[in-house]
Amino acid sequence: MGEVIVITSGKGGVGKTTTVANIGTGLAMLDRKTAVVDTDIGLRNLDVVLGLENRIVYNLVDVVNGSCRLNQALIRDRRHPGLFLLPSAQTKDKSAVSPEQMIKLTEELKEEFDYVLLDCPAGIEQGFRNAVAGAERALVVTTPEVSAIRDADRIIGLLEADGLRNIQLIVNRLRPDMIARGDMMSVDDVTEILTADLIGTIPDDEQIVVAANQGEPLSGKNSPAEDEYRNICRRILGEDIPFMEIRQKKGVFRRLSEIFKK
Amino acid sequence: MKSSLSSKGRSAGYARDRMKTLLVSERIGCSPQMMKMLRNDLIHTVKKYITVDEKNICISVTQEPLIFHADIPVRSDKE
Repeated sequence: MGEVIVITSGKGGVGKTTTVANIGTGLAMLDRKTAVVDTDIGLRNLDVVLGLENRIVYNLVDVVNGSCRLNQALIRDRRHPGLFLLPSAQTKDKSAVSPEQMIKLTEELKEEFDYVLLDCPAGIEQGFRNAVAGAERALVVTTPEVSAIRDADRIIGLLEADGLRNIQLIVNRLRPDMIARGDMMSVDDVTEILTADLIGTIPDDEQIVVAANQGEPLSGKNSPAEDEYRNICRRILGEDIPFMEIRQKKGVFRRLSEIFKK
Repeated sequence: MKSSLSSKGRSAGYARDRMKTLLVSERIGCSPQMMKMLRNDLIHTVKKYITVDEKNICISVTQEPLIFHADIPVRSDKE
């Protein structure tokens, strides 16, 4: 029996879809059978980040309506055995799916997969309610910005009110240079404000954009962000991986001054 | 106070303090404006009975567990 994890944020554009694509790929690379589900009906996008947009035949609404079987709609990623995508529909009708139908769908997916990752739409309306309905764990993605943090706090409150206890935070797009000069909130600042448990800290990294352009998550070499996504995957599996320190590369001068301190 | 903190190079600390105040007030359903009124009412009520050191009153809310603290220094009669 697998675990259903919703990736959510409240605010749009903080990296939910990227996170789902990278963690889904990472878990499959660790030999866990993983399904990633795009629950944003009307605004399909997880398929393009994964590079699977040309292989869609059926979608989530087709499965829920009974127009096709679940296995017909699931797209197998040929590059990663064990990774499957259930794409969202492009219909305009956002009320095409109900929370009860989502619970039924996730129950069915859990039978077959080790992990079911749900890419939640932005906002707190019906789409959010649907995505959260069948989840046992939530990963809340935020960036160290006031707008994202405020929305993350609201989302955490709603998840707790829904009875979800297993909530963990991913702080995305950290800029060590800005944190060092005091112009960006640090991971400690964010966790202190949100009083939530941390599961990942992702540095701002160009490779994430490159990988999305190519439709190949976790394809880079020496990418700090992708390394950290791999760490998150291992933490999801229950391994105790220490958090990477988000810190600037040290210049010669700074190193010298440290020697003098000794 | 705001102008010195919001200057470039220290904006993170200012953001952190703003968010802490805002989110705590949202969680307890009491706006920053109402917190100010609560503070004034509290001081007014206590002052009716004892002499307090108004300048050093400290009002805070801890997050977990959510507790409202009011530290009100009292002036001794002998001073």
